Amino acid sequence: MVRRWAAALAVIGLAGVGGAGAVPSIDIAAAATSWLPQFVLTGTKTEPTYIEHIRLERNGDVFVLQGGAPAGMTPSRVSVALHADGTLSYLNCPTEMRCHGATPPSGFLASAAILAAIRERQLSGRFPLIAYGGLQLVCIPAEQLGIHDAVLDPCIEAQSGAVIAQRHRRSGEFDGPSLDPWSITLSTSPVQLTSSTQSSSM
Amino acid sequence: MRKLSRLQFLAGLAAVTAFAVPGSSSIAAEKLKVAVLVPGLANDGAFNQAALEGAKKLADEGLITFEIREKQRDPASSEPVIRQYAQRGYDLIIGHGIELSEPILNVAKDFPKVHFAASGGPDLAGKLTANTDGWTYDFAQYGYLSGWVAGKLGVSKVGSVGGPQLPFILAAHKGFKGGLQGTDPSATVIEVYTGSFDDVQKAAEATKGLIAQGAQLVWTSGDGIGNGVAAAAEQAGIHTLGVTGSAGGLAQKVNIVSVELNMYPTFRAYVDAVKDGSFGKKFFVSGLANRGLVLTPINDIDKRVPADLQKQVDALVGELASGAKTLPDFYGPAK
Repeated sequence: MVRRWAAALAVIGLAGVGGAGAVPSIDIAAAATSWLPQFVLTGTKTEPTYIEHIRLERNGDVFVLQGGAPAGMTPSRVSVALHADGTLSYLNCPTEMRCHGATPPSGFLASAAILAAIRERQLSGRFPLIAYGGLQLVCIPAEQLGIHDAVLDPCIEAQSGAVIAQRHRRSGEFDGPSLDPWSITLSTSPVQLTSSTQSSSM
Repeated sequence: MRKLSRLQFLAGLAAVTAFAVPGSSSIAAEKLKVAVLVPGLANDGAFNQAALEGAKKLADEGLITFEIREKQRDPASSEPVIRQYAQRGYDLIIGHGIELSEPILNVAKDFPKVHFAASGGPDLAGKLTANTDGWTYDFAQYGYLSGWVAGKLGVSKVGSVGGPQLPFILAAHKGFKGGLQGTDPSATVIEVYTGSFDDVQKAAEATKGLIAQGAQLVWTSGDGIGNGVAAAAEQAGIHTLGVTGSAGGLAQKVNIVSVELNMYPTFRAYVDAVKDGSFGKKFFVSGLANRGLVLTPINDIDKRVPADLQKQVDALVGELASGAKTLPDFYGPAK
């Protein structure tokens, strides 16, 4: 664990070195090599009438998202697999969701899409680090993930690669499916995922 | 306040008769000491802030003094906090959010002279005791009020965008259709669920599809996906209902109104019940009739909103409260 954090810190640098307004930045591909292959990230998002509890799991190349409901109620569950060639497929496709041939996921599951884009060498370069509560985020232009006419850009937590917030294109503010920063917990213990046989290629 | 059912109302009444609340006569003339625990931040402009505003209004009325504790979403850490308030002699401890339900019920067992209020789903009603009241809100009526407003806006085809097809979301959508049909039977609804609660792009695509099919107004039941609905509506030059937050500044441009929680009526009922000794085993459901669900301020973008809309809402509330009007069951199987 300590090694991972040290490796992650090594890829953080300063863009525009020497300038008074130097902005800390991160090499996204280098950072990805130190992202945790297994994690369980939990957090909350406040809705007008309830608190939504969100859980994002990564187990190797499988990402599972649960949420969309108040605590105690049956949540929505979606999972995607990232393949060696950089393609993504849904392991379960919720009712009414367009999974086959769809654009990459743009919410919390953009965590998988970002890793896919890095593996396919479609996403590289340095990106500025942005403070979000006590965390450091990197926001990825959604076009680089194959999303057209983007409304929000997904923002990953720099140490884990987990998407925890979204930044609005118009306002530049964190908006929409963004976790309350104080509520986020990250566990790196190995996770047991429920396997599913239903697969749908994107 | 509307009770969950007549049976539960009678059960609550029996409980009040059977369990006199010690000390209620001395409480009656004093300001109650109230603790409000919320899962998030009290200035979030959403669920948590509804609790803060409800408590503030009671304090402004001179009925209570209160302390609010934030970030109480973890039962392991919130239970000791609740216990501490009970030991410190607080009269009423409110856990605002389902996360606080079990800790509230656990601590309440050990402090029979303290009054506790828990939040939860309909199943909470059966767990209430002589010193606990409970609260939930009616998801279907959340949708109904939006549909009712949509029917007042003079459009013939309304789009409806949902996220995953979870039971409470389906109920809200049934409520929406009921509200629309109730005010404008000639209007039609075209509905789509994206299957995702967080994928804004899917919501934008779905909204564009509805607009292409002729939707002149789009309602969304999902807050997380509202950004996509607002963006697509703005591109097409149409308006929305149900978008919350700023949506990157687009809400001000496209969204006419949303529905929000008003916790004051429920908190006021708790306080009144403590003061008159009737507290315990009562389950409150925030809905339209008790003004637990209300409209946000109306954003009359293109002067399409009837000038007296709020008066019409007030009349609807009056009819529901008096029983002159009743709403159908939106929780049954889809028709």
